[in-house]
Amino acid sequence: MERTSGDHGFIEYVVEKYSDMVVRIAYQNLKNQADDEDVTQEVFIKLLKQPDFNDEEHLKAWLIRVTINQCKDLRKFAWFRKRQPLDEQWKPRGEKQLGILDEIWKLPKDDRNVIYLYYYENYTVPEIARILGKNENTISSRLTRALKKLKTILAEEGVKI
Amino acid sequence: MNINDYRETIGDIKATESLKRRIKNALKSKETTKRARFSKQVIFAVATCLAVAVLIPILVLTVILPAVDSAGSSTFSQDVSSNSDASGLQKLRIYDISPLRSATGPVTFTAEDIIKNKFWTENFDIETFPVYRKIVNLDLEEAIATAEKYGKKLGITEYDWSVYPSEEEANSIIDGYKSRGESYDEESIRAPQQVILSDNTTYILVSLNGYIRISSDCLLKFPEEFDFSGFDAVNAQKDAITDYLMRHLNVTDIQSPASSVFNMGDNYYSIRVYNKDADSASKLLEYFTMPVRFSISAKGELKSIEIRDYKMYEKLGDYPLITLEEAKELLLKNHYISLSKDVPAESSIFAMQLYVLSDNLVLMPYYAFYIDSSEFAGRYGIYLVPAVRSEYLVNFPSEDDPVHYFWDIITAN
Repeated sequence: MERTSGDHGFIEYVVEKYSDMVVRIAYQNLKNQADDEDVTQEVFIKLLKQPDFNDEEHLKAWLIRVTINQCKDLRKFAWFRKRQPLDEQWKPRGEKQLGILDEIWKLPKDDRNVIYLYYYENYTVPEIARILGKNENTISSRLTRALKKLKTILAEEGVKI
Repeated sequence: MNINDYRETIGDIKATESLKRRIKNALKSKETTKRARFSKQVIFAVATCLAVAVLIPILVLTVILPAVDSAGSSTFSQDVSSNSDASGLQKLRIYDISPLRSATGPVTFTAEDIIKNKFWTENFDIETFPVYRKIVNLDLEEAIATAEKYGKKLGITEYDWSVYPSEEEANSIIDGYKSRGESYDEESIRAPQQVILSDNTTYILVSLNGYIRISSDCLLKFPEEFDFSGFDAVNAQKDAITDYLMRHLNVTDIQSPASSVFNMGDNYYSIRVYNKDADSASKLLEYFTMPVRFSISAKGELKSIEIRDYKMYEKLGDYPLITLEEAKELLLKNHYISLSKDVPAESSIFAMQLYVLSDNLVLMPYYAFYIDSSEFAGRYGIYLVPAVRSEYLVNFPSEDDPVHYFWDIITAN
């Protein structure tokens, strides 16, 4: 999938097709709408500087990886860490998200990403391992661990998973 | 909570329209700034190119040709060996995928992906298949001439130039590698990759590897009688759409155009055009090398045209193929390349297809088998068996080492 920094149609296409995905990943990592929108914009600006992609899957995987890394970078900034706790700052986009996402946010960040890639983006364990640059066993363990934790959390609240 | 609740909740999180606008404006604004800076650099780049033009044939001989005679030493994916038999055909090397394991790519497809995107699964009686190798990239001057040619075809008379990457862009890419602590090849990052001709409405990109892309907000608006509301509607009108494209755009010299439709997702359709009068092998080759592809939105607006310069490949010869049945036998003996882990069985084969792998160096035929995935319900992994007879291959997957991980299998898309 070849593109250029001056490729107007490519920009339109990629922003329309993938901005939702980038926002979802950023939102689950940062729990803050303003931050996830900043991250989303930054990810697409980085895309301008990136050479060609082999195909659309390669592009998508690149976007996922860069979004997660961008969120990690943001969290490293001192000003970000010094702000008020995210839970207090977070504004849910809708009531429905509140219940389920609250449970997801109790998981470590890395586990949230694995859950998202597996259950929402339908990637397989080997694919997730390649995207995140991790060992397949690590991803498999994270997935199992995350599901176990979710079950525990929800069982405590009387909900079955 | 069940998985459907999770998916529904996550699916409700979306980028707002204002965010999308903000991003598009930011990106366009960055582009405008870059274009203004590019003009001086282009003059320098063209002058440099002219100055070294004499050296290019020498480089082709000393850099490209030795790669042919040193099987296994090339960094490219598919390769040819110096070994050849009485027929004069050089032995071919299958993709060594091991360095790419950390990369990503598609591994499974839905039944709909396979059925709707298939081009041809019925005709497996081809005995030989032409194998091509890419011989050389365009130089900067040729790329500019190519872009000007298409600009002229589209009636663009006043335009600006840019070359990608600029020094600033290359610096930025290198900074990215440095900040991530990753290794990089500075020379290849700084080398010109693309030229872009633009009148600020239409962008014509010519990659030095022969790929051409023309894009705009709307290159051509289809009349209202055309229906782009869904894949089935577009597919039913593909001949009329192709005819309309051929009559209104002078970007291809295909004399007897036929087309196939791909659903690109999010209300985009791609129409891939090839020559219907060509023989089966040429048709398949053209299809996978994508001579011309048009991308059209659900609003009936032509957004982009992609063209590959087919002349940049040289024919290595017509290679004898194994039959589909022989390929199936090899598959069931675990002689295949795939990213999927399932061991294929006769009963788990969902579909078969003759396939051309079109990476940047050699175009080789494979039989593709789509196999039920136990890991992922309702999806199918792709398994490739080289279609060229094993005596013309130097590294056919063996029973001792059957599973060759492979990722770059749908570059044609």
